[in-house]
Amino acid sequence: MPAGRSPSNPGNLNGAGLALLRSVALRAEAAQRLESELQTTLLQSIVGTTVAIFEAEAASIALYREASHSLEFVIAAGVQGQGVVGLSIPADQGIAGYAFTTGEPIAIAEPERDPRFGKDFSVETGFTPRSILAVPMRGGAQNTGVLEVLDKRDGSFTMRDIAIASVFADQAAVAIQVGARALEARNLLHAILTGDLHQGTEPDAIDDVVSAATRAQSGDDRFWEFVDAITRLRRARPEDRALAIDVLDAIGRHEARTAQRRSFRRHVRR
Amino acid sequence: MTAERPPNSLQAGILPAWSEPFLRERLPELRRARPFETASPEWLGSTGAGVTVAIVDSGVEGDHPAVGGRLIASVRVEMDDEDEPVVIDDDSIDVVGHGTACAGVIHALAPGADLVSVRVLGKKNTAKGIAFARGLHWVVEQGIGIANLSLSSGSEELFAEFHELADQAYFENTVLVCAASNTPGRSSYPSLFSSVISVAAHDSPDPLTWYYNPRPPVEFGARGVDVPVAWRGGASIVGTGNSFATPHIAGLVARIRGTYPAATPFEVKTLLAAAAATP
Repeated sequence: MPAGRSPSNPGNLNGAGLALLRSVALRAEAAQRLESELQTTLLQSIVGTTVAIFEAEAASIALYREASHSLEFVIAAGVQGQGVVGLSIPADQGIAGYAFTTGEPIAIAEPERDPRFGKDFSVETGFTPRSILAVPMRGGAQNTGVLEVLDKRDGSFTMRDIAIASVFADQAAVAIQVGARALEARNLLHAILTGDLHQGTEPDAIDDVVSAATRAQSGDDRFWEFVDAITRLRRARPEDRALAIDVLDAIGRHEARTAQRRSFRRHVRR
Repeated sequence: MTAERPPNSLQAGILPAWSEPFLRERLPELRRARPFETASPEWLGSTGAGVTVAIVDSGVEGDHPAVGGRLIASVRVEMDDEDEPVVIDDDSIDVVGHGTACAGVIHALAPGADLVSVRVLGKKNTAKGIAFARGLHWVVEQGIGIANLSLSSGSEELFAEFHELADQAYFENTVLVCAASNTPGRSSYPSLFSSVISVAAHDSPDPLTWYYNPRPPVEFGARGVDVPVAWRGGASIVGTGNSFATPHIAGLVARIRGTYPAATPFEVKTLLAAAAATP
């Protein structure tokens, strides 16, 4: 996206049209903010439920911040949880860092003897737990953060606890992913409204600009590129559209078969 | 059609952990007809002398007392300037403690075995699947007979590569002892392949109690709950997870290979199953 460029005269859009679009953008922005609060509420509910289920002293969620390669604690629940919010740790350190980098949950006890548990961190939060369970939050291609549970009241963590905590971590990961898509959609609208629509007044030219902005949102998972490709097919000739449908069907069938093969009778209980 | 997304336990419904077949109340289901019943085989008397076990993990702290001075080599996988994984010599260090934990368990069960550390975790390649695959390939290339993999890759892109590697290891007589993912319903390679020995945790405190599960993909259960293990900085902790069950089986495989050096991965697995505990 052409960052920092001021809104330009958008080709054949008249003043009223542009005002209309900006007005929509403002509402999208407001909606995003409201949704962001909803997301926070959902994450809060997840850590709250985690504390209740495990009868734990605390539970928290740390999200990965790519720019600083760190995990930032954003939400916490439980008597001992609040001190952690706002703190950051390097993404490959601490128990949370281990779960994040390997993608595997880990449960340990007596962490005051454990070098993985950052002593400074413990001092900062004013709380040294006896047992810790850290579970990665997996969203798409990359882990998005870590769910951590501290001090289960009823003894140490079991394999079953690890499985249950993983379900909560999955929920949190989905909430984060939904929020990220909404943010990308808002960025897309922003990119288009501030973008260069001088290239022409033809619908095709406008579509090209929108298409380029859409593709620019795509990360490693190429989600927006995919969305753009599908969208552009709407103007295809019927025979091309039929071909596209055939190709997508074939890929869909192939994907389903591979997924089935790879599931290795995961769900079969004999 | 939707964009590819790995299955997770939410989408799949709440699934039992891979360790569930080894829960106390479910152990009777593991009862086997002859010839697969408890035996006290002669190989249990081996110390694993003459056998080398590779630990593909976060490194191994060579001077940790739990490793008993048996670490004979350390390498690490790094991404080069072209982002290709390369294997280079490493100091005998552990960046996390996880690899030292595995080494300590193996040494306790097979004190005569030599250990080689293949570090695939580190700052520059934090758990990149491709680095893990390269490390595993190196182990097979070196002709090392046993590899402890308390790590797995969830990368669908590397499915074929890991599948090929697991087959290659099987044909070259390298036994891969792999931790099942702690999170069921997720991809975990190569631990889900039939050519490897996959391991989940049971909660009995006996390091020499192991179970055979006739319902794959996870075929063996070993001690993995509240296990006292070595850790970075000469420390020790108490850990829970399939990661800690796996080196128990790797240690037993070292004993088998100490007795029958020519045993193939198939024969090793059969011997292990034959001598598994009868619930």
